[in-house]
Amino acid sequence: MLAPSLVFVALLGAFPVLSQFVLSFTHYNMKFADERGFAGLDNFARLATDATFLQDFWQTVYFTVISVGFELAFGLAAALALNRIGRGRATVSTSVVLPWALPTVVAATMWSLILNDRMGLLNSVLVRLGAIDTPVVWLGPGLAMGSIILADVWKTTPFVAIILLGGLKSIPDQYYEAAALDGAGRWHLFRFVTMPLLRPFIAIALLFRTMDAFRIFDIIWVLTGGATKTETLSIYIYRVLFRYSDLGYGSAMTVALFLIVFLMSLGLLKIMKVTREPLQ
Amino acid sequence: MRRKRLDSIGLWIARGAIAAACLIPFYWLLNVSLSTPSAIYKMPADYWPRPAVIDNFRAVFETGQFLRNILNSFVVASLTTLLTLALASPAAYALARLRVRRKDLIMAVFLGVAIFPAIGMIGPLYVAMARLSLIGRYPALVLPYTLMSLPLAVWILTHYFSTLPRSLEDAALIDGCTPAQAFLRVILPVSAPGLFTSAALIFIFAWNEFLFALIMTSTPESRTVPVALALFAGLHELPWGTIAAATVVSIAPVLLLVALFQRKIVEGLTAGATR
Amino acid sequence: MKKLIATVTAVAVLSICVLAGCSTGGDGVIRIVFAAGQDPSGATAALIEEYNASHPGVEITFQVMPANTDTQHDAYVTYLSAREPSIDLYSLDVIWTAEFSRAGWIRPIPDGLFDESEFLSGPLESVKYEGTAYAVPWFTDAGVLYYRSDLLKDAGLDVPETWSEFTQVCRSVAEPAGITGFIWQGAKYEGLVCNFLESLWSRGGDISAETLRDSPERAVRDVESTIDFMLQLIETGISPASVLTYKEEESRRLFTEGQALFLRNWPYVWSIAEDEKSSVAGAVGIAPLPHAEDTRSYSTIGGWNIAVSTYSRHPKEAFEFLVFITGEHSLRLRAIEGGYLPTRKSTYEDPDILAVNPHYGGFFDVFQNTRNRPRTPHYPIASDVIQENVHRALTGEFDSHAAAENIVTEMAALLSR
Repeated sequence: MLAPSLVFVALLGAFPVLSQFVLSFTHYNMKFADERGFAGLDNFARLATDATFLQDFWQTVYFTVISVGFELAFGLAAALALNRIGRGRATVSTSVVLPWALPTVVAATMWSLILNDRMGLLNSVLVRLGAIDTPVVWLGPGLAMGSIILADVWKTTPFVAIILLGGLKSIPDQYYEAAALDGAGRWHLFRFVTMPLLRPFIAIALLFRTMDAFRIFDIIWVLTGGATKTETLSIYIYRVLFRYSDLGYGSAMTVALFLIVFLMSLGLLKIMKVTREPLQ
Repeated sequence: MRRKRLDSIGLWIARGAIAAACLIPFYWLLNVSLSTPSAIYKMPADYWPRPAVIDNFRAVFETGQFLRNILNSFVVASLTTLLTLALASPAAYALARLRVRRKDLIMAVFLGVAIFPAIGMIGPLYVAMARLSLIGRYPALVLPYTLMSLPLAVWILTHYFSTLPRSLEDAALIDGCTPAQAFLRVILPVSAPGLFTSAALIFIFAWNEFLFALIMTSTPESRTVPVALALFAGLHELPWGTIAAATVVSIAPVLLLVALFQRKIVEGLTAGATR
Repeated sequence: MKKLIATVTAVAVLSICVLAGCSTGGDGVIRIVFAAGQDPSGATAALIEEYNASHPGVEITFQVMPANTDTQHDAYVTYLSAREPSIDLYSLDVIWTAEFSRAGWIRPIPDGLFDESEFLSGPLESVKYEGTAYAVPWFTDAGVLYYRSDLLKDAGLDVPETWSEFTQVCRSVAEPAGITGFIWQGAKYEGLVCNFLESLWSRGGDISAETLRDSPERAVRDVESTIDFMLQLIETGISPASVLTYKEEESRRLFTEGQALFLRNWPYVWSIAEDEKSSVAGAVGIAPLPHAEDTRSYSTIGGWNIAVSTYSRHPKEAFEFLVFITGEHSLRLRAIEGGYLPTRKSTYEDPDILAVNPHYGGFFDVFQNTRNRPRTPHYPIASDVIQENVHRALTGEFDSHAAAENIVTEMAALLSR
C-alpha cells in the first residue's frame, strides 16, 4: 500500500532533489558556460564564511521561532474555541479559514497597504483612536520584522487551527465522559485527556509550520524585499538561483538549508516524543 | 449552572474575537473592491465605501477569462486533492498499522520532500514537464502540487489512523478481509475528519500556489487564479481596486468548499461516536 | 470510497487522453510565440491580430506574462535555461541585454534589420552588448520630476533646476502648505538603484568601468556625497523617513492625493495625475530632475526591448515579426492606446500621438539626458550590491563612507570580470 506513493515520489521528486545535491559540488552558472566544473567542497567552504548567509540564517531562526510560537498558541486557542461550537458554526469556522484561503501575494500586498504609514488603515485607526500622534513607519527599521511576523501570523494561524481542529475531532467523546465520571475538572480534562491525544497533531502542525516558516518568501519579498534585517535564507537562495543563475552555489545553500531543517525536524519530533508507534 | 453560562459567554467572546481578527482585513478588502480609486487611499480611511461602485467588478468580468481562470484553479486544486489523498491514505494506513520495515526512514523521506525549497525544484521539474509536453495542461501543475502536498497528507493521516481503535479492523480481519479490504471498508468510512482536514489544507495550497502556476502555464486560458491576479497589474501601476474585486470573486468558491468540508469534519465526529 | 477510486481512475484516464491528443500543426502554418508583459490597453493583441491577418503562413501567439519585471525574469530564465524551443521572442527589460546575450540565450540582430539612427540614443545603447545589437528597442521609460504647478505658481516660483534651488523651494513652499517636499523611491529594490544613479550622475559622478579603474578614489568620494545628500533630504524633513519603504505606487499615491510638492517617478504617473478623478488634475507639471550647479540633469533609462531566442526554430519569421512590432506603426498604436513611450524619434513629432499625449513634448526633453544603468552580464549582482549598500547607509546600518567603498570595490570587480 506504500508502493504507489513511494513510486510517485521517486519518479517525480528524485530527479529535482538529486540534481541539487550533485550541483552543489560543482561550479555551475546557467549564464556562463565557460565557468563550469567540479568544485568539490568549494561551495560549502564559501558558505561557511558567507556573512550574508549567516546573518540571514539567524534572521530566519528569529522569524520562525516567534511566528510559529504565536501561530501555535493562537491556533490552539482557536481550535479549542471552535471545537464544540453549535450555532453559527459555519460562519465562524469559515471566517477563520479566510486568511489562509487568500492567495499569499494578495495577502502580502493587502498588508503593505494596511501598514503604509501615510495611507494605511492601521495608522488611520490608531490616529483616530488617539493612540498615536504621528504615523508609525511599520515597515521601516526596527519594526519591519515585527510587521512581517504580524502578517504571517494572521495568514497562517488558520493552518494550525485546521490541523488541531481535525485532531480534536478525532478524540472520542467517551474519553471525556469517562474522565468526567471520575470527577475530573475541566483543567484535568484538558491536561490529561485533550493534550496527550492532541500531541501528535500539535507536533505535525509545529513541524510543517516550522518547515514552511523557514522557507518564508512571498510576504517578505512584497513588504520589504529583505531590507532592514528582514532577509531570510530563502530570499538569499532566490537571489542566487534565479537572479544570479548560480546553480552551484545556490544548490549548496539549498542542500545546507535542507540539512538544517531536516535535523531540526528530527529534533522537534524527538522533543515532542512522536515515536514510531503513535498513541494506540 | 452560572459558571456554565459564564463559560459559554466567554467562549463566544473568544469566538467573536477570532472571527473579527480574521474578518477585519477581509472586510477592508471588500470595502476597497467597492470603492473608487481615490477613496481607497483616503486618510483618514473610510470604513465603508462612499460612494459604492461596482466598476471594479465590471473590470474583472470584462472578458470571460477570469471565470475560466477560476475554473482552472478549481480543477487543478480538486485533482491535486484527490490524487494526493488517493496516494497518501493507503500509505498512511500501512505506516500506522501494518508491519513495515524502516518506517522511520520512510516517514523521513516524505519529510525530506516537503523540506526541499520549491525554488530549487522548479527548474528540473520544468524540464521534465516540457519533455512530456505537459506545459499548459493540468498535469503540469497537479503532479508537482501532489508531490509537494503528499508529505503533509501522509503525516496527518498516519497519525489520524493510529488514533482509531484497533478493534475496528480486527473484526474485519477475522472475517477474512485482506488488510486492503479492511482499510477500504472499515477504516476509510470512519476517517472523514482526517481526510477532510487534509483535503482542506491541500486544496487551499494548490489553489494559491503562484510560482509553478506561472512557469508551467502559457496561454491566458490556462492560467490559474494567482497568476490571473498578477496579470491585472501594469508595469508600475497597481489597480488595487480591481485586484481586490477579483480576489473577492475568486475566494467565494474556496469558502463554499471549506464550509462543506467543515460539515464533513464534524459529521465524521458523529460517525466516530458510534464506532 | 469506491466513488473516490472511480474518480481518480477517470482523472488518470482523462489526463492520458489529454496527453495523447498533443496538437501538432500539420497545416503548414508556422507558429511563433511572443512572450511579453501584460498590455492592459489591448493594443499589442490588436497589432498581433493585424499581423496574422496579413501574413497567412504565420501565426503569432501572444504569451501574456505578468508585467512585473522580477516575475518575467524568473520565468524567462527558467525557459531559456531549459532551452525552450516553443517561445520565439521575448520582451526584455533594458537591464537584461548583457546578461541574456552573454548567456547565449538571444540572437544577434542581423545587419540592416533596423536603422539605428531612427531610435533614441539611450534605448539604442541598451540593446547592445560589446558593440553588437541583440534586441530592438520597444518602449522606453525615464525618471522625471513631477511638480505641483499650482503651488509653485502661487508662490511665484519657477521650477527649480539645481539641487540647492530645489531644497530651497521645498522649504519655502511645501513646509508652509503642510505637505511633504519630495517623494521618491527608496525601498530596497531596483527602483532605488535608478534613484541613486540619477542623484550620482546629476552631481557629476559615475560608476562606469573606466572611472572605477582609473580614479576609484574619486568614485568613492562621489558615491559617498550622493548618499550623504540623500540622507540629508530625510534628515532635514524634505523627504519623510518612510520614503525608504516606498516603491513607485506608494510614492505616486502620496503625490496624486495632493500630499507632496515634488515626485520623482516614471512617465506612467502623468495620466493618473491628470485623470479627471485625480485630486491634482490640472495642477501638475513635468520637468527634468534637478542637478548640481556645474553639471546637467540625468535620468535613468527604463523600458523594454524585444529579442529573438537562440532556441527559436523559426528565426527568420521571428525577426520579420520583430521588425513589425518595433516598427513605427506599432509604436504609434501602443503610444496612442496604451501610453507606452515610443523609442523612435519621429513619433515625438507625430500630431496624432501628441494629440492624445500632449505631455510627450516634455518627456522628449527629458529623453535627451538619459543614461543606462551599468551594462554587465552580472547586472543582477551589481544591482543587489547597490541596493544593499545604499539602503543600509540610508537606514543607518552602514556609514556612508563604508557603503561607498563597498560599492566601488565590488562594482569594480564585477565590471572587470
